[in-house]
Amino acid sequence: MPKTQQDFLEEARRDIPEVSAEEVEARRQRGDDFILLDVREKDEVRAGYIDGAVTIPRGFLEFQVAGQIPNTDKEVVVYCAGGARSLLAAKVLRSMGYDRVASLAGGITRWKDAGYPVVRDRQLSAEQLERYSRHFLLRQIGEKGQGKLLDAKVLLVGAGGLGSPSGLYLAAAGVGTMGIVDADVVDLSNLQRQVLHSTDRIGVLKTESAKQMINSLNPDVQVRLYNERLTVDNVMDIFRDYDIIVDGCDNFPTRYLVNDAAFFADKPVVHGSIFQFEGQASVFKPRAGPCYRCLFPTPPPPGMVPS
Amino acid sequence: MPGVIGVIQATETIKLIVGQGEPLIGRLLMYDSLAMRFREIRIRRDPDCPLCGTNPTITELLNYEEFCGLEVAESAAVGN
Repeated sequence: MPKTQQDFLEEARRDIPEVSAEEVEARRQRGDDFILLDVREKDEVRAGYIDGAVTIPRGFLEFQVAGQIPNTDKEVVVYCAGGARSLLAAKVLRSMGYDRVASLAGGITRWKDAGYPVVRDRQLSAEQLERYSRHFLLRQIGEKGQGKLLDAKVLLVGAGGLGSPSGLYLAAAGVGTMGIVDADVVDLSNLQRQVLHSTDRIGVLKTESAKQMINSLNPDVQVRLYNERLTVDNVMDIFRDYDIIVDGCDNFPTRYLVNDAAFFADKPVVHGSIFQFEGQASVFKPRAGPCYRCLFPTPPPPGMVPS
Repeated sequence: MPGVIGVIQATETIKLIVGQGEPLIGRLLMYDSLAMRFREIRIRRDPDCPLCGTNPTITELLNYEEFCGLEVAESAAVGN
């Protein structure tokens, strides 16, 4: 006899315990170790979800759950809009070896009625959903991570050899605000490596040239230009407006200035440096790890290492 | 050459923003493009660091040209 939708739900209810919104909230407050799994469609999730939930639309459940919840011993509470899809999804999880699975009775509707909070990520336009679609395939980024990128403010110190590739890829990834500090103009000899610039922009200020390239790649990026060298007089004011500093310095005094100012401003510095065929990279996060001075307490004697 | 390091910097920046993966905090990644080899060393906060150590002596911004010996060198070159 063909099954009806009632049959599916009754079968699932026999197997799968249901939990109330109150129970789930109480367990969250206690800090219990369990995973909330939201199996609604993407547009429903975008309108609001329970903070911290893993989201897998029910259509992809069997294919993505092992990647997102690798440990089948974990306790999982599944929810949907009203509590029906979650029952069926939970039954599938049980058959995949997730023994400690339950369904949220009444779904997120009952959760909201009980007055519990839902969160929304920064909303992306249709064009952004298309532009960053390759990011959404990566669970470490997803739409939530893209929202963070679009909200982020990154300062590039130097739009030259290091600032060019880092600037290009940060812009492509959708960092919403990028500041660029550089006092130089584009020179022919730069073009052997400074891929942010071009032959037809020789003589143009590097900041202007960078902005043109960045915005032609990604108009989402708001580019702020600082056509000056960083000095003790401007650095703290400039750093204040950014979350992360990308060090593409081409000289040691500026490198130490950046290090010290970032420490005082409590901003992480993503450090890079190159010399001939060698390069180095690290991240200096104030108080979380070493700073540039921990590594290089004294600069090289002048003239020994060219800037 | 700067391409690789620059993209690594972009990658680390993105990781910090989205809060995923292991950032290069406390690690120095070293790249030798001729040998095409990457190496990594652990780096630690220096408790004696004048900036971020337990007894900091640098509590405000300095004259960095002077710190790097450039002003002295320049004035020497000019024959002061």
